[in-house]
Amino acid sequence: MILNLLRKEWIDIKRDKKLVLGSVVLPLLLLPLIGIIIFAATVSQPPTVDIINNSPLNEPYVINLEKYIKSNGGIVYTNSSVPSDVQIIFPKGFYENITSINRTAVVYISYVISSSSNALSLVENGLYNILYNVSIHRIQYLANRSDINISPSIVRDPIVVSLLYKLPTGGKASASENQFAQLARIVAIILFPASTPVIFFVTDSIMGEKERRTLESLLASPISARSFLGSKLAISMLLGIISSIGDLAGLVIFSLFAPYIVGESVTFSLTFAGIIIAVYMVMILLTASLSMFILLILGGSVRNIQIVNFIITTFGMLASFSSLFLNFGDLSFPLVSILGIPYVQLVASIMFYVFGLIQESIFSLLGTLGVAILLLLLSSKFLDSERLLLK
Amino acid sequence: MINDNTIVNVTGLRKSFGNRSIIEGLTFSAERNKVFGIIGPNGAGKTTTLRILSGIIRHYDGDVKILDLTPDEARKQGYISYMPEDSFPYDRLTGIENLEFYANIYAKSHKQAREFVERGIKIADLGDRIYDKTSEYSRGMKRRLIIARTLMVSPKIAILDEPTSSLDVESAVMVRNTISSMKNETTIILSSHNMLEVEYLCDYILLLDKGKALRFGKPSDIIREMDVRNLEEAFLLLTGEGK
Repeated sequence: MILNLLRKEWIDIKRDKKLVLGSVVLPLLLLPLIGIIIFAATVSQPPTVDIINNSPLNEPYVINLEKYIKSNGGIVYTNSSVPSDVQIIFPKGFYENITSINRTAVVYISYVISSSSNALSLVENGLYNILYNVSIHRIQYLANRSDINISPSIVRDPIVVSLLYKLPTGGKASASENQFAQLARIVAIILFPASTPVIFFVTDSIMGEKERRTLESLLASPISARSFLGSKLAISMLLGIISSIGDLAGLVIFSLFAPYIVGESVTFSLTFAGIIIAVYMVMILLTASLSMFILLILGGSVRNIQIVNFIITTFGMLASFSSLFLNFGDLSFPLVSILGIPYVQLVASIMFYVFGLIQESIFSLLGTLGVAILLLLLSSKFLDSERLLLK
Repeated sequence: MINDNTIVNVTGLRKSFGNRSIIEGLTFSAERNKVFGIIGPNGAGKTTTLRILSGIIRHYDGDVKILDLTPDEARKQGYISYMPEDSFPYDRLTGIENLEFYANIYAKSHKQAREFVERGIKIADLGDRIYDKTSEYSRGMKRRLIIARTLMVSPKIAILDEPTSSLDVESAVMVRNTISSMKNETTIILSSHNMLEVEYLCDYILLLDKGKALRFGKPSDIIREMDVRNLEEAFLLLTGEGK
């Protein structure tokens, strides 16, 4: 029975050119397009800095700054009228002030709002280099005059911070693990939006039948509720996976390259990619079963579809925010009850994995899988054709 | 009125939507391999009655039995084939794909499914257009396909809600002829507000108005007993709008 339903759904979708274009082809093209735009913007719009030098004596410092900016990908104009992201003015007297032990040299920076913030960072970092070198020279000068033996860099930086990392479980962690945890949070944030098309596919697969006036005949046929909902669910999940294949591929590539960013082994990255795919699949199933369950409870109307969308998006946003602000390695009562909110368990599964809490990670994943399946069983048990058709 | 041939038995059927009462205590029965018509004006409760009989509406008061089963149980057994008034075929599927889809739902084997489809093709009588997508069909062609889809599966009861509504004369005649030709093969329950059509097609009728049964019996008996020329006059007399 279900194969017959799936065959019909597949033919129906295959011939729906607008759906295929809008929901499957377009997202696949969109992601590379965004990448191209970002790449083009980076290449064609490098940070630009205009240096105005009002005294030939300032030249060594201007050259120093210019070299720094250029070596970091910036473009430098000197005494030019070309519009640039940042303009820095070395005024007359700058040299006299900076070379004097007891004077402060001034430079003037003007920054075009909403332009590349990299330009400002480049200028500030370049100036910091000058500031550091001048400070060291001044300290050395004072030491020589006082005839004392000191290390200028120690005087300049009297405190050295030694940063150690710990896992939430108390064990030692490396800097790369810390970076990895931060990267995992980003993965957790972007995971939910990738699953949202499924809400549309589920609601459309059921309400589309109502709109096209084919639902009533189908509900009056001997098809079981389980076959009806199962076929709708399977096809919606398939479409959801296809439509977000770009996002998923991006996530997997990101996971595979993450070790090179944070300096871990490739084996680790493959496991992480596996966890992401598993979480994503469960997320698709949860989204589909939640959409179906809420729609069947509320009844089939356009307004109810909006409510389904709103409820699930709210859950997803809560999960995304929880990945930003919560420390999943140290959840105690009452905060632990947040794990009762749909999708938060999936975020927790990723974070638990990153923290080395493998058992907790698998438990969260399997728990969510269980809830999703339970919702489906409840949906098929409580499918009320009257409510779906007439409300 | 219940006998061995009774296939549908409805006693004291009531249905409300909120505070609005749609059906108020209907009692009737339908016999095997006869055409049973439920007639009445718009809002009489015809569609709701048919939806209850087809198992779509499961919350109601009273007793409804189809071959001693509830409508929902009968639906699950494949005893009922229902054509809603406002139904369309899947427009991205061809005519034959639509038939195949429903044939596979009702058939117990591939062989039976093929037989259903062959029967459906004959009933629909659309020629080579059966291989076209139904989005390219006229309204009459779509209706013929839906009627074929409903009747091809040899249901114990075929329920047709307003089978000829909004059809042109030619299509309506074809649909009526199809229903007539199926008379002795299956029990057909149909609704209509076209009393003359029902008079022509039905063996038994239930005259319905505002959810209440006005009269139940053979059309010829009702016309004779009420001393009127046709069912239209009988209906107007019963509702107090006739002379």
